[in-house]
Amino acid sequence: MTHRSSLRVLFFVATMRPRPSIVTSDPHVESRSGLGPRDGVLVAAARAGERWAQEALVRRHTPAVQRLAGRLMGNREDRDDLIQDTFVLALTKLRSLDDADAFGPWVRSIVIRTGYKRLRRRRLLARLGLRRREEVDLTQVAGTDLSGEQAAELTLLYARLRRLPADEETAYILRVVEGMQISEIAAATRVSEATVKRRIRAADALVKQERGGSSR
Amino acid sequence: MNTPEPLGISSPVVRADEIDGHWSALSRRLKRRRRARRIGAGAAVVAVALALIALGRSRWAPPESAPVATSDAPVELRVASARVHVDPRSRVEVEHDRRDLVVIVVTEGAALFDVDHEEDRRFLVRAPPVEVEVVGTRFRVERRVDGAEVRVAVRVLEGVVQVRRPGEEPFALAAGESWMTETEPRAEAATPSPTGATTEEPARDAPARAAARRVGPRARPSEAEHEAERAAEASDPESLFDQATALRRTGDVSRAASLYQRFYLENPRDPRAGLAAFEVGRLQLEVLRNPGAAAVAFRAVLRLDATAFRREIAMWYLVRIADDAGRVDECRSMRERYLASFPEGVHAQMVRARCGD
Repeated sequence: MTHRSSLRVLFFVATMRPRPSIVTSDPHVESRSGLGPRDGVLVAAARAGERWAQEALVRRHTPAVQRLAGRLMGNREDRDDLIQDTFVLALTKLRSLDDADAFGPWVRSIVIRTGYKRLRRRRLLARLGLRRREEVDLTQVAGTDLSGEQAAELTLLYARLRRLPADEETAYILRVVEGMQISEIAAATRVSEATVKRRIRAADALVKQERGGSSR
Repeated sequence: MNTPEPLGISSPVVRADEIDGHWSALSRRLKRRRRARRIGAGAAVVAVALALIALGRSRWAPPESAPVATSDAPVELRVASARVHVDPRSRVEVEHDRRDLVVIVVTEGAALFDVDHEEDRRFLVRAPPVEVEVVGTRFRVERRVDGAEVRVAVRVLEGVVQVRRPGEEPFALAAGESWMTETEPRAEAATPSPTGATTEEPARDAPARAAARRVGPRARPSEAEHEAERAAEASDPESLFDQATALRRTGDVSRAASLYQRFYLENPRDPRAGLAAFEVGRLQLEVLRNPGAAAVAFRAVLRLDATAFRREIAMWYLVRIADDAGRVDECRSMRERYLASFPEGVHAQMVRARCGD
């Protein structure tokens, strides 16, 4: 290969390289295009009572919140209530958010804590006979690509989880269905990692026990 | 015993209409909360409000029982949400004062109108043959009859009005602008049917210009107008913007929108002009529920503002406004413009779902 053709190859390779992307790796901090305002900017405007900023924050984070709320509550009605409670709480308590750019993780932790309270209340009402136990609506838990087998397994799983204490159910869903790390669950639920592990193991033992019982 | 591993299932799909639904429900709930908080402010506020109402009633002449104002001294009328300052030796009639429509006729002389926008009530001022429709503003209408000839002048102090003459395209007059007919034969024209929303700068092309002229400031202002103008003209751009912001914060959004509008019209090269237009747009859309006026302002944002995120939101609102109004072509055109500029914008998903596709 001559010197000139080597240069050509080098030039070709250089131009074929992907351009530096302005897409940020953390969608909670900045819009995907990088053109929109950061969460920190929106939070600052929302704190000043700017409705457009509140709307932008809600719209940006609703998908993540809805997915998490759907998985925790398992049905549309409770999911929607949880979404509403979460954003009302978030928008009225914005001043307590220390790192404005961390709006995403913060609002997710609100979903989890508020969801836990709602699950606990639901348990109590069901025990008192004031509320019936709903079947899980899988469209709230997983995508449409779920196989029939997976769907059945998930339906059973949620039915079993309904019999667990709310704290164990929450921890189990966050770990097994949502796929969160133990440390993330601990931070969001404000308990130690050891406690999270204990709750998940307790829930897992019961789920396996019931699975065994039902298969016999 | 180890903790179980994640199942690795896919996430549920979140549709754009679900996001819209959540936001509108949330927005209603936040409004209710704010309202409840206001109510909870207590008896002190109520007492102050009652005192202010009592004071206001004592200052203004009773309008409902006096549909005609004609006097040798200046008179102040209250009609619906408007205050009408009638000049001496002038005649003003309240032709309609209904829930959906207010029509005031200036038959002779001049009057200054200070009107707060009401979503469900249109406000028209007739000075035959001219008709002025109000968007939420402060303006003066003068009609001088000299024998067989009549001359009508309109001067806008704040906001925007739409002026119509029989058989001609309506056009908008914005804050600081005046307009006057040439003298023409006296003929009480039939009331033209009111149409349409305010347009951006229709006066440029309006045929009405052929028989009328915009005039410079000041033509025989009344005392009431003097007072309003002194307050308005004392404001340099800095204090005008600050004043608008202060009004917005106190909840006087109608006047805030007027001042922001005046700011961007008078100071288009100011770095805050785009922001001011954006404020007008969102106040008109979200608070005053006037999508026509909001669209005017959002178009001004695209003209005046280089800030990407405000342009992105303005385009999204323009798509939404056109879609809600059923203007499919306009909606699609703005949608294309949005997606070309912000393919990954915050509202891209919602924009794609609009325009009836």
